[in-house]
Amino acid sequence: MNTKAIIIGGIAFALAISIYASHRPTAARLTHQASIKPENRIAPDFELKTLDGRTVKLSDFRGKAVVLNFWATYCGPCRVEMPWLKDLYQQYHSQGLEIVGVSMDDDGEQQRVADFVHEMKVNYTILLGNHAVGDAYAGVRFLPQTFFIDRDGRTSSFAIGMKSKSEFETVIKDLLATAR
Amino acid sequence: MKGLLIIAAIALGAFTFSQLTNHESCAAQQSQMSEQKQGESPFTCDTMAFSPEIRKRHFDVLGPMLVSMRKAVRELPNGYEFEFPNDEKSYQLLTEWVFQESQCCPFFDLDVRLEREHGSLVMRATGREGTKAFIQTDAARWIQPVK
Repeated sequence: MNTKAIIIGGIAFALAISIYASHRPTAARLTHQASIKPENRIAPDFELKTLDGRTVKLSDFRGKAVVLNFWATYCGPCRVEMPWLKDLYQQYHSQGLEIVGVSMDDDGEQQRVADFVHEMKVNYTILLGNHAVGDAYAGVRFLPQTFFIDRDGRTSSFAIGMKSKSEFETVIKDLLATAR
Repeated sequence: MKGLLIIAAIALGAFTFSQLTNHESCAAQQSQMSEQKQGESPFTCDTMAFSPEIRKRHFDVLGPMLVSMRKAVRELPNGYEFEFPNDEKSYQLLTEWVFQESQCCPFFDLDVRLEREHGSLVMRATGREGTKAFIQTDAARWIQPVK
C-alpha cells in the first residue's frame, strides 16, 4: 500500500514538475519584457515651479500614485508619450493617479514650454525642472525618463526611454492597487 | 521491482527539475548576451549631445529649413527617404543636421547619398522596429507629401 502510494506520488511529482516547466514564463521572456526596471527607494523630494509660478513639492502628492516623467520640448520620444500620458491621467486620476511632467528644457525656455503645453493641451501637472532635481534622479541625461512612485513615496520602478501606452498602464494599475 | 519503480520516479522528477533550472539559467544568459549583442539604445534623446546654441540651431533652424527644401518623400519598409536639391548648400545643411541628429538620437540609421550623374541628394532615416512609427508620430511635417 505504502509502496504503491510512493510510486504514484513520485510519478505525479514528476508530471507536475514537467507541466510547470513547460508553462511557466522563462527568465528570457521576463527579461525581454522588463523594459521598466524595478526599484525600491524613497523618491527624492523636490520643490519646483509650475508654469503659472506656483510652487509644488513632490511630497505634496504623498498618498497618490505618481508618474514622474522627465521630458523636454525638443525630445521627440517625449512628445510621442505625451498624448498617452494625457489619456492615462484622464482615465485614472479619479483613482488616485498624479502625473508630474518635469520639463528639462534649457534655462530661459519657459515660454517655449508654456506654448508647447498649451498646444498639446496637457492636462497633468507640468513643472519647470533644473539640474539639481535632475541630479537627485541620477542625472536624467537621457529623455524621456519616468519614475513610478507608489502611495508611500517610494520609487517602485523606472524607465529610460519611450515606453508604450500599455507598458505605462500596466505599471499604473499596479501602483494604484497598492494599499493605503 | 517496486524499489526500481520508486527510484525511477524520483530520478525522473529530479531530472526534470534539473532540466528546468538549467533551461532558465541558459535562457537568462542568452537574453543577456542578446541584449549586449544588439547594443540598441532605447528611444531617447541625449540631453548632453548639444549645447543650448547647437540645440537651437538643430531644432529651430536646420530642421525647418530642410523640411522646406525637400523635393520628394518616399516611404520605406523601415523608415523614410527624403530627396533634396543637389547643391553644395543643401549638402552642407543636410550633413550638419544628420551628424547632430545621430548624436542626439542614436537609434536612427541615417544615410546621405549623392546619386550618380549629378542626381539627387538623398537622406534615408531608418532603424529597428518602431523607428518608422516614431517618425510617423513625431516627424509628421517631414513626411508630408511635397507640393
